[in-house]
Amino acid sequence: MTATHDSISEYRALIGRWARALSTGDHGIVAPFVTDEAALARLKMFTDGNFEKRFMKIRDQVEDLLEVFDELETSIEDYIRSRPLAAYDTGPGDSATFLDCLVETSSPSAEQVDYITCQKCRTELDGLAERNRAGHGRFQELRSQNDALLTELDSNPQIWIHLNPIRAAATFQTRVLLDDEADLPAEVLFYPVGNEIRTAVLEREALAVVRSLWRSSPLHLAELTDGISDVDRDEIREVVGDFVEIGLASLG
Amino acid sequence: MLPMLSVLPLLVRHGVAEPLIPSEDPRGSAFHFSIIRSDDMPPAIGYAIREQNRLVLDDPAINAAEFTFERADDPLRVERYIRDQDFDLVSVHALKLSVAGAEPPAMFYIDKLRAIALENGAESVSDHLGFTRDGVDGMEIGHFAPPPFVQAALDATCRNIDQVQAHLADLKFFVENIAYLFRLNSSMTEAEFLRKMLARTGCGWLLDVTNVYANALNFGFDGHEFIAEVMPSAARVQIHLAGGVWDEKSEMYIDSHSHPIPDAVWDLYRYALELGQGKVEAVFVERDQNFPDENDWREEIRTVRNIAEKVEVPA
Repeated sequence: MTATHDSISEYRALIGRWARALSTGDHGIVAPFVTDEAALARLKMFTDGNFEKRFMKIRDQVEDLLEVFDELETSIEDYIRSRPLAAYDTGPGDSATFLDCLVETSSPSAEQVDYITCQKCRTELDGLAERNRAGHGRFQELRSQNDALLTELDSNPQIWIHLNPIRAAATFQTRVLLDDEADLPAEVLFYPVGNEIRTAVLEREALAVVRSLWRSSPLHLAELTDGISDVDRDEIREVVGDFVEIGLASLG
Repeated sequence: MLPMLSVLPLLVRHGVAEPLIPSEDPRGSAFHFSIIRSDDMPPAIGYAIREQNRLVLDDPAINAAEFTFERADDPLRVERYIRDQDFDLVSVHALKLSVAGAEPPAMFYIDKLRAIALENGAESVSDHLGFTRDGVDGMEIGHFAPPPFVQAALDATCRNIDQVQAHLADLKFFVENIAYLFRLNSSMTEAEFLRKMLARTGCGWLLDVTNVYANALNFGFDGHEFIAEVMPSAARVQIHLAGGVWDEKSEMYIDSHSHPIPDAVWDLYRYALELGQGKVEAVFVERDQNFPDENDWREEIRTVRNIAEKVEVPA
């Protein structure tokens, strides 16, 4: 096709102005270009409807925070009014940006920070899986062999131990999301099993195993035990079995 | 040893772990097929997939499925969005190509669309005749707005569609007429714009019959005439059906996908099938609120098929 470039550049300027206005609910800028008086009220319906949809999407994604932030809905509204939705953002990115704003503007308590951290780790997993679709798929497929390979783990030195490639770590400073007896600060791992996000609180021995696998995965059991000096082999073997069971590691 | 690994139920996002796609299953990879259809075959018929209608997707009246890209694009997915079901025709419905935007859509978005389409064995992709942003690095409006029906918008739209079609390669591309709450000053009618767009780009028309009905009611034109004017320019057609609601406050029919398909839309549907005989490839019913029970889901889709079969294979 042959495009009329001059007219497209004029169109670009017009659409640019309109889109910016409509994205922030400022329908007045578009008003002179609509066909009739009744359209003004309908323009407002359009921008109000868009505002509501964006509000509900963010609210749904951060709903756990409603328990610990009294004015969360007002904060979401303020955020939407001040920050247009970025091009191609379909939701999780918008919620993550909102959480950043919340931290900047609300001086959150330690409990509130733990809630925000938890939410941001979930978003991070989505981002990791987006960038490493193949890795996520391969790891989840590997899990189907775990039952058989786990029985051979001690006798077959060729078995690899893979750490779930989609993972995020966080340190919780409070027990607001933990068991009452949890040691603080608590190291928490987030990872998917299938399309479901799971979490695990790691104690000393498990942390040592995770750190080794995090640095270099996959490893054979012998390599793993050689690299951890302060945990004995049996304990490491048991931790690996637990990791496999909860979907944090897989055998291959 | 498990005490050192306490799972925190509060933090677990609810969801059901799904079985993995067997690696030898060709539908799990870049499997692609095309329907070979003759002119007297009725179109493929199905629902726009929602979790609420999955229970009826095996109904004998259903041999097609449409799904929304944004729903299927869960980065943590481990199986196809359409799962292990077989359909004669699958189509991916997109929301963010901003076909009538001043800038062409971003290649990464088209790449993702294509990947999801191939993963699910889809043969086509569709999006709306509207603009949703000011540019690739700019900001989103939140919903598609109608373009002004002017020459510059037509040029930009056709350029965008050309680029989308070139990048989608063997996937067919359809553009949907939208329901709008307002219209911008224009130098041509919507029908004229659509005719020229279809003729210049060769893309398919996703005729949303309910959107035609809503716009005709809200802006005072004849829906039958609209369809009759555009249909000859479309080489291939898909159809959307839905039910909306009359909003007393705005005195508008709102295409809310929340109610049964009204009689007037059934009539327009029958009329569209008659005019588009031989080139209507698929019909999809959309529902997003006030979901019916299982019987009503089945009854509705059987009505869609019965009408299509009567039109396409006259007694």
